[in-house]
Amino acid sequence: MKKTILTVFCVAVFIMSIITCVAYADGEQVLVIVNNSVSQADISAKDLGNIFLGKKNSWDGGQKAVPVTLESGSAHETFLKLYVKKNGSQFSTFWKQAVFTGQGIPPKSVSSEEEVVKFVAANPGAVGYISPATAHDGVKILAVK
Amino acid sequence: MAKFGKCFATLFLLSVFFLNPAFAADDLIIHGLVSQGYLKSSDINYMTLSEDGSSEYSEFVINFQKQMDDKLRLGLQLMSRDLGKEGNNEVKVDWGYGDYKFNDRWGLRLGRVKVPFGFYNKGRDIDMLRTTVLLPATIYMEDYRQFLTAFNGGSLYANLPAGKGDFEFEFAFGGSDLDPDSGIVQDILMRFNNSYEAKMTAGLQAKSALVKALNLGFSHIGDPERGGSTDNGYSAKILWNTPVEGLKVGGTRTSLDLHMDETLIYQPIIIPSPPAPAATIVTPGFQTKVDLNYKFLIDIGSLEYTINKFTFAGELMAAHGQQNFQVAATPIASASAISPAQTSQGSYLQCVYRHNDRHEWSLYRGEFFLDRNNKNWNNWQKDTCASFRYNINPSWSVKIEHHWIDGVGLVQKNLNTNLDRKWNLIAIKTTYNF
Repeated sequence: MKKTILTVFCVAVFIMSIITCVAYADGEQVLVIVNNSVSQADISAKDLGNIFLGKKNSWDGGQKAVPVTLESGSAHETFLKLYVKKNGSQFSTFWKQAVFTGQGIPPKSVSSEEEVVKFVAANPGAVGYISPATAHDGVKILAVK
Repeated sequence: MAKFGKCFATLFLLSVFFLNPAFAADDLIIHGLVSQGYLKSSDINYMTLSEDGSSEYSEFVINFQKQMDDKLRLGLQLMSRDLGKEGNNEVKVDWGYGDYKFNDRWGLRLGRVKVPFGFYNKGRDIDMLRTTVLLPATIYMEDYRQFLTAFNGGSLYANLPAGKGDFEFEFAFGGSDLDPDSGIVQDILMRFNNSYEAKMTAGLQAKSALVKALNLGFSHIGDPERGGSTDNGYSAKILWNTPVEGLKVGGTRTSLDLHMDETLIYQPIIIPSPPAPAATIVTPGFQTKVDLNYKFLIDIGSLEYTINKFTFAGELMAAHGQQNFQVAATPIASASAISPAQTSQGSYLQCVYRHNDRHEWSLYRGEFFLDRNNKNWNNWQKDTCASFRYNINPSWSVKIEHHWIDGVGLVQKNLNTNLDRKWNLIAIKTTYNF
């Protein structure tokens, strides 16, 4: 009985690996925006991801980095996939673990891209992400190397 | 003293959070969870009286965190839990500390800090972080939880970039709580008591044929009065987030120094009349004190690989334990010491499949040997576990799992009178977090 369950599980794992690998290619984009006080013009993908994981807390000049995230949506998933290397569920679990084990406080989270722009424009050191089509007056675009 | 220190730390942190008008209330981050579980096993009582089904399996957690400035963060987590004889819903400080980050790479935490034991110890009480109800007990031994959850002390930590990956280091130090009435303390002392009394009885019966014929012997009366403490512990972690996306490997070394003591009371041993011509006192009644120093050195190697919807994990542990029992002099024997040593070994391999945001599956196989040089089913526990988790919404989950278990190496002997080799366990748990 135990061997049968193990065999069925292993076969299922193999099949689902193939299916999920095929389903991953796409060409979505996001804009990374920062408050006008941020002097940096660009950032590496790894450093950007680390800011949203709480591993990097300041910009190169020493100014405090203040990340803001979306609660959900395609821009959120795309940004996490490109720069944080996690999906929304993994990102949420990462921060729940950090909160309940005392490792850190998650970034502020908002429900719309307009709120992201508003937050980034109003807070020195702030960084967020939006879809390319979203209006982003009052903030700077940060290039990701 | 330790209780006073924790009360002081709690009151201090709460006063900083709630009474200091310099900090706006919206800066205070509050999260929590409530969970309720149910355990049902066949033939064996596991952690609680599970053979008849037990809902003595619950947790309530609330935590407060506040970023005081760019470098200093304060946090406090209160927890109440119940698992058989453990916890009994008493509210305790799970962790609480000040975390000072010198820069992006280095930081220091002082207070009550979580122990970096293996990959998953820090989150062992946080049910919604994993697919399974129970972490693999072959590494995360539930009985040893009270020694391994947190240290009253501090930790130095670092995150150092290394190419496309990075290294995480942590060194935690301090002591931890030891509940003298917990199942594991009772089990350790009960094992010693049984062997000590068997040895004394054998000596007595060797001296007197009548004592042997009547099968008289030593057996303490009442529940022994116990005490316990731990100190001088440390746990060191190194973790490499490799350049391969989703792959991390690491290792931890944990050292624990446990102290336990108990007072045993024995009634006089009397040969009655008849068969003796007159009632004869063979040994007078007495009491004696047992002191136990128990040193653990536990090494764990860990690996986790997340690819798409799958997470594969494996851990291997070697735990060297050196016990030193010292027994005070009694009317029938001088003071003596017994120093048994053993190396335990544990491991597991796990596969988790997260089908979507609602459904997750897990299968793991774990093996534990209490003494790797003495492998028999009383000393080993081999566990195959299949789990299913359903997320009703992002905050509320329900899990169910079935364990097929061979051996009783991790079963509390004080909860069982008869032990069967093959047994099953069903665990169900629901958790709501906010």
